[in-house]
Amino acid sequence: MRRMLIASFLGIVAIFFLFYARRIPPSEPMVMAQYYINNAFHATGAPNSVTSVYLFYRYYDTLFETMTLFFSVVGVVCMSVHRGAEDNE
Amino acid sequence: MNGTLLLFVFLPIFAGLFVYLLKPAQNKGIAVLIQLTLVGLSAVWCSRDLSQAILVPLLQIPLPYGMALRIDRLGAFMMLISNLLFFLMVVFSFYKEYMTPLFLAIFLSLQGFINGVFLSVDIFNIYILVEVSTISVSILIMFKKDSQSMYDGMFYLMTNLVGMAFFLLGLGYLYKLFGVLDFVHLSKALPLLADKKALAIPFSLIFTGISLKSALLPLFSWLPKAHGTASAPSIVSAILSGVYVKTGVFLLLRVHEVFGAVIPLQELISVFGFATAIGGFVLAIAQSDIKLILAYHTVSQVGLILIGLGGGHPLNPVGGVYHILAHALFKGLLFLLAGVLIEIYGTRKISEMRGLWQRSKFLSATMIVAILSITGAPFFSGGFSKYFIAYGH
Amino acid sequence: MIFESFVDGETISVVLFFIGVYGICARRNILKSIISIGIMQAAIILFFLSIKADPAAVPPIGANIADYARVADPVPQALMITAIVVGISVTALSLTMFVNLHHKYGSSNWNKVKRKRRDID
Repeated sequence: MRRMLIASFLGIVAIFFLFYARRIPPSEPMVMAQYYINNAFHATGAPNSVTSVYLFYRYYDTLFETMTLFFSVVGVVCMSVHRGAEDNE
Repeated sequence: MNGTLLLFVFLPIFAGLFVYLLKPAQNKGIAVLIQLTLVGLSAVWCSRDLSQAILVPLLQIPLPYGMALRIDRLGAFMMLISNLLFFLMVVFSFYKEYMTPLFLAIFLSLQGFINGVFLSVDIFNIYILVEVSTISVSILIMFKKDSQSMYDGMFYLMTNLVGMAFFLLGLGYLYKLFGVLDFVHLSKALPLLADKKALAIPFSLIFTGISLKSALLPLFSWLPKAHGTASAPSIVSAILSGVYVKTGVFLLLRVHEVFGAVIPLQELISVFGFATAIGGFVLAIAQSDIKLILAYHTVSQVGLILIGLGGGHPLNPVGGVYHILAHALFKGLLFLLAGVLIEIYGTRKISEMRGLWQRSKFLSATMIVAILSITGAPFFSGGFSKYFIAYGH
Repeated sequence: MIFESFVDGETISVVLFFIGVYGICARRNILKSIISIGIMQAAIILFFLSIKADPAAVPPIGANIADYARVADPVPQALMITAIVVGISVTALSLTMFVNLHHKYGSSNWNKVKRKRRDID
């Protein structure tokens, strides 16, 4: 019963969401995309402009993305290590 | 001088990595030195004339295409608060045994990420920074790996992941609408949009994500669990309540800057502020655990800050921003005191703590100062900010 | 057909996103919550990639892509590489935490875990 209520509520919300979301037009000149398509190859020399966006134009994001990976590895190692007797419950 | 902005982000992170990987004998000394540098730098930035926001490009490419750091008055002020509080926390826990290189590394990196949020001008960059700071905070909460903190950290991580998923979807709709991702060009492009109703979806999604981050009324159940975890070191609770919740408020102000020209946000912020203030306050009275009281009180103070920010008189937002500073100071102090008290009495029940004046005069005097400030007594920082918030009402 | 005009990347991603939200709201299993967050992230990735998706567009690879009239947008692709890595790391972290939580509490139900958490106090 509870699941049915949640499902119907979320269904109504989703329908309204879609109704509004379809009003959103894509912006006509894609400002950033057009610039990268025109200039990326000459500025970076990478044939794939996704590469040049990922590693050159938005390198600051990529740096923190790597840090996310690093910290999750630190967290996984920190959670998995059991030492001492107090953890052997 | 402009290049020093990068230091705010990268100096703590690299220092943390250095401490973690090489484990030098003087690791806490290094941390204190770095904190002093950062506090000095942020004080210098705060004293500069920042009425025009300064953009420091990270590439030789202009803004919508490249990336940049931006500092304005609010950002400089928030950075001063955050660096000052981190400095005090490192000094406080200098001789504590939980200050292992791993803890220090995560703690210092968290400072770098928070500074990065205050300096960021790009909305996707903010998403990444908030996500990585969520991960490091959840590791800090669970640092002792006992049953309670495991549940609290898990709950914290899951709720914040859901909130940031909403934020990311809203960001996608914004990108679809405008084709740019930085605040400067978004706030220029927003008033030119023909169909204002198209903004409803991206705004509501982003507002949901941010109000979860800043613990507004229906979405605050993660905050007492995360901030009041019994076994987390008290400096973690102090940082979470003093600085980390304020990144949500800061993001709310940034959203206000972007959407404010089109969507009238003042009333919305006021209404949420009132509801949050009353709700947090009522729940705080019902607790008996000292850390939980402080955690629920943080919820109500966030509401109070929002009441100030949404106020009609021009002095009210000033009071709101001032209350961020005041709350960071007295709540940090109270969380540290709560940690000390729990150590002394061996219990977290506030009714079983008595006779502090006989045990330590100094602690009691500090406690009285903190309590006077938290109640907003005259001539204390909490009092002045509350006058400003109430001005004109 | 009017029905076929609705079946595009955006609609499917919104439906998937709400399926993920339903999973989080209605299911009490911690593992299912983690899976639901994964579904939400997949929906967001699909949404970003279907912004201005066009079957006729050429991929943004090569020296002379500026000459083509319609080129796929490289920005969402680059953003989604970042988001995928973030998604992987948070999923890994939450799964490890779940294993630890299950060791401590012996249950994978949010309500039971919450009740046991309250008993500890």
